[in-house]
Amino acid sequence: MSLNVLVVDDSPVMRKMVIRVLGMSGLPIAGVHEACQGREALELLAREQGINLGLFDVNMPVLNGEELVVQIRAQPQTAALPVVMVSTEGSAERIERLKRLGAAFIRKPFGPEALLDAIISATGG
Amino acid sequence: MNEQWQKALGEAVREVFESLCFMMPAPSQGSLSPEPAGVSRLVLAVDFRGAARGSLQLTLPDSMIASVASSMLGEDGPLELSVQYDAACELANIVCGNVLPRIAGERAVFDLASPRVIATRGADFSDVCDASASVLLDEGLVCASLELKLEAAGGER
Repeated sequence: MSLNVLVVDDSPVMRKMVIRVLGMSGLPIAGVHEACQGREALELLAREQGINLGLFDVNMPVLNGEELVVQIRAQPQTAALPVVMVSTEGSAERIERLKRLGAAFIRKPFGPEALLDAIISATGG
Repeated sequence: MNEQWQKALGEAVREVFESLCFMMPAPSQGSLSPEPAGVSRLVLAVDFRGAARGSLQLTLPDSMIASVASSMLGEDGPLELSVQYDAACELANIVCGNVLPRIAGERAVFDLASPRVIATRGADFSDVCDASASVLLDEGLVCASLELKLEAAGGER
């Protein structure tokens, strides 16, 4: 199955880096959408059909990555969306919280293999 | 200065530059020679709070910024200066995010502020920080310094 990916990060540079590494992962990518914070991501998810993977930063203005996942899980249309959280800061406590929300976690910096592992973990293989 | 923090800082700088920018330490780390006078350097800062509060500063030669950004983004062509600075800021952010768990432990929770460009100045922070590290890469000298106060340890430094 091809991936239709939503990349959410307030840094355009980080979005570009994530998309670059995603391209290097070898996964089939059908499309990539970008948002700069959680609120914009929710609007995009409501508007765009077929997004089947989210790669979200944690620290973002307006609506951060963790709040974004909570809202996604609360909506029947998006509740099952596989999510990988991409963050600089990855305390064990935060990772456990994100796992309880059904999100995989990857710490920056990361390469294609680590991203691939995280995506497999998020999508259940 | 705290030697353990200093070691953690040096390791984080080396690992992040290697994995993000494909920039390796120069062979002769043991004999860092002073850079020629007048080398212009970019100073970036990342403030943080949580299990500890403080600030990380990262300085790198202006001449290195373009190649750092190109490596991070995989772009061969020239990049706008704003993009180069954004990339350098992200680099500082990632160094900060990587050094803090080494110092405060994997369970420590931090909130990192947005990285910012402070100024251009010399690289010697040794008199004002708790830890500092200099890493000589093939592309130039990268320096990092850390001011940090552990909240849970009652202000231990």
